[in-house]
Amino acid sequence: MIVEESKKITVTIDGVEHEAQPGQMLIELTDKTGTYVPRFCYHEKLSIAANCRMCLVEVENSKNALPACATPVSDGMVVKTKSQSAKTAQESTMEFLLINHPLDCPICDQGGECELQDLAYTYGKNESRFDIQKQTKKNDDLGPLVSTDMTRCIMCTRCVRFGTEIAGIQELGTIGRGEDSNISTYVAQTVDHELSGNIIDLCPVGALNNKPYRYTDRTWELDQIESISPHDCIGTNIMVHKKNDIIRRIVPKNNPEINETWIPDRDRFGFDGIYSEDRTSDTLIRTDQDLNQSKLSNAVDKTVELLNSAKNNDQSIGVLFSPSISTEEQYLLSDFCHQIGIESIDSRLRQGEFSNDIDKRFIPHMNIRLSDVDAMKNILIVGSELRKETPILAHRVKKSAESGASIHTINSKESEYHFNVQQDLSCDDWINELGLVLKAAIKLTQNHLPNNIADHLDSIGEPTAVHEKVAASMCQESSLVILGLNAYSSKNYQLIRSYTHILSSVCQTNLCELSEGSNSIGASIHHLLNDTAGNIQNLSDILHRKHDVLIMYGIEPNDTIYKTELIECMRSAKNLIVFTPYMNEYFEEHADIIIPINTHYESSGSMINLELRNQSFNHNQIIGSKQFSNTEVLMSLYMGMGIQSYSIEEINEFIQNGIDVIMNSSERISLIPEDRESSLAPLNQNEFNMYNIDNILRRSKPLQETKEGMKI
Amino acid sequence: MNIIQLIKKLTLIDFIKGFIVTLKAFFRRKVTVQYPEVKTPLSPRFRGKLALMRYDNGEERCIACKLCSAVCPAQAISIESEERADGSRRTTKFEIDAFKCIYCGFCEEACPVDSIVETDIFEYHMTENEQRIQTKEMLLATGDEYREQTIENKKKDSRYR
Repeated sequence: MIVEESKKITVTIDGVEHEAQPGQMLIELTDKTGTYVPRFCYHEKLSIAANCRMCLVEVENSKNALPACATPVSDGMVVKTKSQSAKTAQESTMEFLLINHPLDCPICDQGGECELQDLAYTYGKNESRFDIQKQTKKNDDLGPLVSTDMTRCIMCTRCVRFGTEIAGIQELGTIGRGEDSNISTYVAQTVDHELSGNIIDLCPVGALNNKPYRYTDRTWELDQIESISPHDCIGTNIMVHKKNDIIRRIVPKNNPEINETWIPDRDRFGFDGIYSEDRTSDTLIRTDQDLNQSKLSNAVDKTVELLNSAKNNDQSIGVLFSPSISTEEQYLLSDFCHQIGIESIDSRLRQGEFSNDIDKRFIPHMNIRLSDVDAMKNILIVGSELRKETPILAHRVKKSAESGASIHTINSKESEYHFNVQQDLSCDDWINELGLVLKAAIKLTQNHLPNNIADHLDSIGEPTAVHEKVAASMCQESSLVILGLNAYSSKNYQLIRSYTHILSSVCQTNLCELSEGSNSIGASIHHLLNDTAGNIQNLSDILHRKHDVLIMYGIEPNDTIYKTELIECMRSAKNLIVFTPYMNEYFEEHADIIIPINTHYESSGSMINLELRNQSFNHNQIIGSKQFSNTEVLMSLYMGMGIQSYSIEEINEFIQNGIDVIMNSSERISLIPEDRESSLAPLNQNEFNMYNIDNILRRSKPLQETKEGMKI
Repeated sequence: MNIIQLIKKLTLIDFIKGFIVTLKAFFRRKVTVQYPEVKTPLSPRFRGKLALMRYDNGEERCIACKLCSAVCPAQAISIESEERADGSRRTTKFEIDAFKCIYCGFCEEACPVDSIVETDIFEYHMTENEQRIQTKEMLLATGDEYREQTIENKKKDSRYR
């Protein structure tokens, strides 16, 4: 039986013989062999509905034409996709679809990229035989992201299937029967899922569309640039659509290894933030209590002067930079500080607890590929609201859950998941629960551990059956531990991290540590390669000192969980130099020099995602707030100081070296940190908001109008 | 030189032939008109200055589908659009560069709502370079001004379209 199943079969399509897998649907085979069969309801990532009937083809020995999307191939099948009978069937289907579809293509945003429009040209008849009144339908308000024109709906139900199968929460459904059927939210509500924007791409017609983009451009006016999204550590691939060098919309780029065809809403609508009123294009210098406009060269000269005098007088200089800028910028900035001897430099704005020796050796990353997550059998999610932190990773975990993986979670609070969670150990004392799971795992595997771990674990109580169950599950093959951003920002981060690492090495699981921003790994490369002495100080040290010069590059107080401390530090600093794309009240009050820089969407470079994939982007064509690129601004600092910078080729080499170093270290943390009072008090972690994580998202109007955005 | 040529030369026959042509033209009906006092008749298909039309209720016809700007071979039309407060799709900017326009009439043919039309106005001028950009207001004003005669012309031509 098994032998028979794996046997290849032969199917003839339009007179050409093709080999096929048994059980494959006909449309999969035609797609693979390059024969196009028209379709509306079929989508390769969704289940088969076979309700649009557009893919009817003629199959020999069958009385009627059969839908290619729901017909499994069989040996010796003879299929004709372009025969008279298939053509008639397709034409008739198209005629039925067009009975109620309005002919308002000139005002429909889908016009030009509409599947119905394209297929009506190719497979439709030239004229309509229906002169009856067309149906109109009620439009639901789906919130600030998705616009609706339900009259245009052809009931393919892709959006409904997306809700049940991909989003995991059914936000849209079908109501009514026959001609009266309708797509609607059952009770009046908006679509709030973090992936809900994808129904815009799924909809083959203009029924569901991009609301902020509504009625602004036609598709043929847009140019597209391949790019990377800067809002999480996944490195989602996107297509930036621009007109007159201004971004008009963002759509997903299909990359099966990262995001498949989906992108989170924040990647799709976040770019709006770069056209915020807060953008600053003026170089400002404070003279007599007021910020006055100045030339960039003056500001650079003044910065150099301040740095020189502070450096010579052995006074303190602190540098904070964004973890979401390109690796090249981060490297240039870090190396600038390194060369002039600044040791207080950090970009870990959301890390809850610092320990230099550990942090430096173990850069948070993922030791498998994102696409491997689909095949994991046991997953433990520690300290994470995965859906909010990394929606794409959450989708991958959901896929594995659907193929039978057991998922366990431990977090400070219960969070909503769109997949089945077997054991949810979330409670206030969640770190202890994690310790108990580790203890159970050690018992199970009978590993011998160093004394300090054994002593520590003795003090936390005894594991119960629940912990043993989770531990047993983790000790099986293909298991994965995900350490989330909630843990990362926790006051006990080092302890949680040690537990996770030890658990991972005891059970020999894979390990995925999420990191803040889109390029934390890039930020750590300079430290990794150059800080052999271990002098580099961390955020906690920087925030507790009074600085003579404090430099903030691409960040603002809201980006960190230590907002009050940072504002205090800014206030107490004698000279505050800010490189920022945006103005805010704190800068207006405290900054002495403000140098405008470009946001991600106007610069170019590369970013490293959590699976250590180095991806480059080039947004140089997009009009920014100023005429200099970020690298040019940094270079002018180098020149002002009279020091040499590395060339881009050399920096790329360093970056590659850094990636190799991280990739080749399979070592895990194997000691429990000593109990220390953390000197910083991070903000309440319940305040993690997926639309407040960086300065661009915070200013994106459509996102701020969503339910999640309103909570900020 | 033979004898026939000699006779032709002496009798000035070619010369007289030429004069006869001139004499014939002298008595023929005149085609020259005293422009601008007198004007030649125009075909209803004449493609002159561009204009934007309105519906009878005063609402602008243009729905910002941008098909005219897409079809324009000289890329003379630039349009920007948005959703108006009443939810309809309207232009915020509709500009035609009169220097780029080659009066081919493709825009008129592409328009699904008969908004952009070519009137039979061919006499217009501008004194400043910037005035070559005809804004939406100017185009609508042209449409209002020559509304009757344009509609008349389009009606005459409609049976051949």
